[in-house]
Amino acid sequence: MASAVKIRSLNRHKVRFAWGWLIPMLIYYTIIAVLPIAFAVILSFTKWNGVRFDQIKWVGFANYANMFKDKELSGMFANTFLMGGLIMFFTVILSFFVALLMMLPIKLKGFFRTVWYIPCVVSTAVVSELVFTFINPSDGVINTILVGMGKAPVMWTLRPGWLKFWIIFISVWKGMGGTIILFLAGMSAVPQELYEAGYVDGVNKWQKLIHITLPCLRQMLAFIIITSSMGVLSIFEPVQLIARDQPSAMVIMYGIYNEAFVNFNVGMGSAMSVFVLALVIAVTLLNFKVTRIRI
Amino acid sequence: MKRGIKSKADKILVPLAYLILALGGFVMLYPFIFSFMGSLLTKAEYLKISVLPVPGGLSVSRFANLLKFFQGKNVWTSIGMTLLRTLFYAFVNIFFGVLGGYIFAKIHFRGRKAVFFYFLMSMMMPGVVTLLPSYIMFVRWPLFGGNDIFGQGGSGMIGHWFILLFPGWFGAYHFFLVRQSIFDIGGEIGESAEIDGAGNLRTVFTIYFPLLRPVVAVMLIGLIIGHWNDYLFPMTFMRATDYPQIIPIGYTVFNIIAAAKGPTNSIPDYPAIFGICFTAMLPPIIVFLCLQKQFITGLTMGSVKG
Repeated sequence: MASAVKIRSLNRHKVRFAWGWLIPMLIYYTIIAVLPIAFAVILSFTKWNGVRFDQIKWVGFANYANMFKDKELSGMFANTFLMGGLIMFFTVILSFFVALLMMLPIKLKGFFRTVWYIPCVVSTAVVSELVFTFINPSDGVINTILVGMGKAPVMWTLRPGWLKFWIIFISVWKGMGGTIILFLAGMSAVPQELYEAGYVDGVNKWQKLIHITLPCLRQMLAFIIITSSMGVLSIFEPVQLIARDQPSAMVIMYGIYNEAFVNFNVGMGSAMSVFVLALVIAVTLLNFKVTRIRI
Repeated sequence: MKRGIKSKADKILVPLAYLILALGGFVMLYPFIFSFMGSLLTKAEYLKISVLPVPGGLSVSRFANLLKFFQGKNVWTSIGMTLLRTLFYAFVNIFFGVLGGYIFAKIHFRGRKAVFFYFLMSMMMPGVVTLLPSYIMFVRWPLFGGNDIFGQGGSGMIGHWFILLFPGWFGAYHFFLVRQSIFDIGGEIGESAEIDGAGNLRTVFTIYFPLLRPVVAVMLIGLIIGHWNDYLFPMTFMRATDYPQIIPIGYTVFNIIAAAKGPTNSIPDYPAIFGICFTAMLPPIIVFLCLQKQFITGLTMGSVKG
């Protein structure tokens, strides 16, 4: 009896402790993370240069309407989805095959895993700068070599196709390491009994892959696609540092940056942010469905 | 998959695997190899550069480009600020992360799910959504950086050193990782201490903290690498500043590169640029090579249960 009372008072004490810390944390979090988004939603219906509040002009849905009418802005969305889609496609496919190779009975597995992961830990901005010095049309490394061989230089950064190619290339190069490790984790978690059962049934390698490994990786694949789709939505550094101001590779993140900090059109920048927010919420809800994050 | 006997298919596949993994591995390391070798060249040799530059000779002076990074303007104060910032964020993130994870794992109270969900909401917000909204809030922050009570007149926290330490004290992702680890540890470890009357904070940090070392390592690594490489945040929030000497290194390195490029229309000192890039990329790689195991744990921890 006495101990039950003690435990109950202990529990009350703990709950008080929890709220004592959570309330200040909630206040801080609301101000830092939630309030700005609420502001952005309001500002997305206005025209404002970001300086004086009395200059805010209510424009209703005009920003959202213009977002899809304006060729340059709708082009940014198209570019983001196109390049993002291709980045995800190549990252997932290539990483899957590399992970399969690493699952073979090879020596130096740890070494290869380490080497393939290194691009993930370096600064995207510095790598982008390095690639730019490589493909710089006037005096970049590749063109210096081409000219040295007596060939015509290629305008890498001025051709829309090549520009997109390099941005996709850097992103895939940088994204593969993490995806490989996730695939490896998924592949090692496939129950050994399934393979043994398959062995007894005399399945070949190909059948094993299609009927045992792939179905077991479904959840991991969903996780990879969802998390990387968040990443490709905010692709920025390679575009800023390689494409500079060329519309052929403009992306949403660059557009928001430009609208807000170069054109001082906070209303439009906010509308773009809110539109992406809607996309992200949809993806996040999907994410909760497939990952371990359970509440 | 150790079966001892190699199947017929393996006989073809294994050598192929070695070939692809080695060639691909070379592509993965290429920018590092190239920028290292390229930095050893003289300016004249650069004009005859090849895909894999080989310096015309080896002498101590040729390695000077690798140190150009450390001779950049404001580089030491910038590195100092970056380290200070990392240290500060490591402390607050680990403190709140462990505390929050413990609260959400071990204490039952009404509204717990709602609060956890509220924190998690922000976890998946990519920079593309939050960049502009938070800029506007910080630039119009009342009574700061010359702003009046309505946030007018000055530039708020933008460009002020305070912005480098103010946002991001805790992340829902850390709560999630710690909570998961406490579930995985399981048992009633803390309980006996609580009955003995140890305070809650003491229970968390003397009993749980030592057991949470793996997840704390994961948090720490993420913060170190993230702060060293951080480019977008300083570029946006510290672009116009009265304190150029404390702009974090992820952006300062671009000022150093710009200085090596010289004025427009002049031929940039490419070997120097390669050297600066190589040295700037080195610290995260060293941290990674030393703490590989924790990196991999960290990557798989937050994903689906295999």
